[in-house]
Amino acid sequence: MKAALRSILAKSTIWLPYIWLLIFFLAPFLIVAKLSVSEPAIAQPPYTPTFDFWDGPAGWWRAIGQFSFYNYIFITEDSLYWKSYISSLQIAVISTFLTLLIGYPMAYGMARAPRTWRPMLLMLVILPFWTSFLIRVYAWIGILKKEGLLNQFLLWIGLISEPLTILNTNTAVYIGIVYSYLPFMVLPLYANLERQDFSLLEAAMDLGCTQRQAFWKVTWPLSMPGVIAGCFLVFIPTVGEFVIPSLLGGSETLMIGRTLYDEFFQNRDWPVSSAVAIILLMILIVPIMLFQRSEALARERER
Amino acid sequence: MNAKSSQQRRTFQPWEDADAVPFIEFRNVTKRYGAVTAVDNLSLSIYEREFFALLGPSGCGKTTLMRMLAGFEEVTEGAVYLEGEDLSSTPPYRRPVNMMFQSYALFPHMNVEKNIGFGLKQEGMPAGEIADRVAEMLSLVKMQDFAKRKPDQLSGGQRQRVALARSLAKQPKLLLLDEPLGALDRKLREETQFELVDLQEKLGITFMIVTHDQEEAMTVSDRIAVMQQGKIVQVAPPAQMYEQPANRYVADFLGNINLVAAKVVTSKGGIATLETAHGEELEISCPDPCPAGAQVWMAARPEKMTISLDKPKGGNQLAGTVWDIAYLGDLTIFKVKLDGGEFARVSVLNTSLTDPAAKAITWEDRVWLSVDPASALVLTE
Repeated sequence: MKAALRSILAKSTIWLPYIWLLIFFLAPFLIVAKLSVSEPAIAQPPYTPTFDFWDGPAGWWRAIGQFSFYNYIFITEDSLYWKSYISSLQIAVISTFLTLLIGYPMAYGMARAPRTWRPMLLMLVILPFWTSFLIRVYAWIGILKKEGLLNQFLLWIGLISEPLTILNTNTAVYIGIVYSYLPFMVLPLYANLERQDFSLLEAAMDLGCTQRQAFWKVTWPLSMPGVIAGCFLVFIPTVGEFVIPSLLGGSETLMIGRTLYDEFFQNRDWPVSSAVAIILLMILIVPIMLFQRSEALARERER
Repeated sequence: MNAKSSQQRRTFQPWEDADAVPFIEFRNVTKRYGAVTAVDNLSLSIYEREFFALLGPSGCGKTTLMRMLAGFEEVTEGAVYLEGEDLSSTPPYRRPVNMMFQSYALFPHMNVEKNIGFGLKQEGMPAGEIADRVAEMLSLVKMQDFAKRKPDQLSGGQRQRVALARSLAKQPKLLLLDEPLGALDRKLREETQFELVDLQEKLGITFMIVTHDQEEAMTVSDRIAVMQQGKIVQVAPPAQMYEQPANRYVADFLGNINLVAAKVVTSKGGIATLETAHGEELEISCPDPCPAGAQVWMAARPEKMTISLDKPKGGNQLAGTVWDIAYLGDLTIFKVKLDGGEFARVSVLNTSLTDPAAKAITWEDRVWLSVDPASALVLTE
């Protein structure tokens, strides 16, 4: 009896996280999936069919029979949605690339800095997290607006004669995203680059590489896991990003997060917004799964 | 090793030839890291086809010296010459020098073949020639069956071979080996030492090895340089280094030696008469000038002294008490506390299954250690 209890407790480290995932990931996902095949209704809640546990299996079956994929068809027919998807993906790809462009040299510099400096540099990267994300995005409004700090500075040094319009454009959205997600790129890259054996670079130089060639032939390919991790960490949340395009973007900024928000709160069309969310999830998950599969296959081949 | 090459090897002594042109020359080289001097006004000549060993404890500057040749360290003062050309302005990737790293530094994302071919591809050699050279290198280090493996799928000894093949693939004029066998276990290390020697003879490339293992240095090299605190203490072939050490530091670093402090009484014809602090008289060969009254040390290797229970006839003995006995199979080592207070080691070769002479001596026995004048040395510093 006691042994059985102990074994259950010992296994709790395995099943507790799964229960957590079940309650907070799988269950909401199923609810959203179910919503996406429902129809909007002027009711409380604003969709039909609704499940009632007391209807019994026959009642459930009847409800399932009312499911329709109309919302998905509707989304493909209305250009607003696929334009939002495309534009979201485009903004996410470009900002992920920009983040990598800025984050890689940062991480590289940190990893090559004297050992005693590294904890402090790491701290500086993490430091912005101590202030609310929302406040930091608001601060960018103060910097980027027409009479903001940036324009004042550029006018003062005489680089421009007219204030630039940056706020409420895609440029502002890129700035906001790159700024907010930079630590997510820098940290995995730093973890990777810091572990790399410096003698590998010397070996490459010994075998005829200039410093630059040594970087591209040794450091860069070896940092691939860090690059991929960093890009995923930036790309995935950016596709569905809502706060930054809402605050910094303008009417031209079309992102799926905003479309979803409008659908949900302005139109009160829960089923369509759920379908939008499900498609977004598929867009993100399918390539990741394919990628992992190809990685696993490549590893398999090497054995 | 065939008879001919061993004959060549015996007569290979370019450092004795006044007309020989050095292949590598360090001229008054100093290297400082801030306030720390790693290499201190050092001059050294190394000749073509030589297998040269830099030996010393960690931090003596031997690795720095080697890295200067590879181009990873800049010279603070002085200059390094390769075939008469100043190397200081040549970057590492343009030097006809390759290095085998202590950590092997194999590229983990490339297989064995790609690792070995890396330098050739970098040179722009056509793919077909690269494949031929890589195959040649693989057979040289007997790794033909592992061409497609990645470094993390190899054992330590196999990685060592790949690293060696990679550093030889570009046919450098000089190969640098930084503690190349440090990560191998003892048996494998000994085998590999002999393989390295054979390889060096076969290829005719100048090798320079950095090691802290004196046995390794003696096994592989034509000449050894012993370093201490950024300076070279002595440069000599292994046998000379062992039999005629320049000072107590070298004598103690290479093998074991018994040192007994003494004063010179007289000195004539290369033989000095010494008196130990305890009052015993010894006659020892003294190649350096030994002025009477000078403070010197009698230096005798453990295998060059004999131990006996009875006081032998003649002089040249030190009396003492057996302190410890270590039976090592091939040797028995006696640790004797001399009457003067110093400890001395004497090793006796166990030539027969029951050696009565060695067996008879036991702990706390009164013994006499004798030494032939020509088998010991007077060290003045």
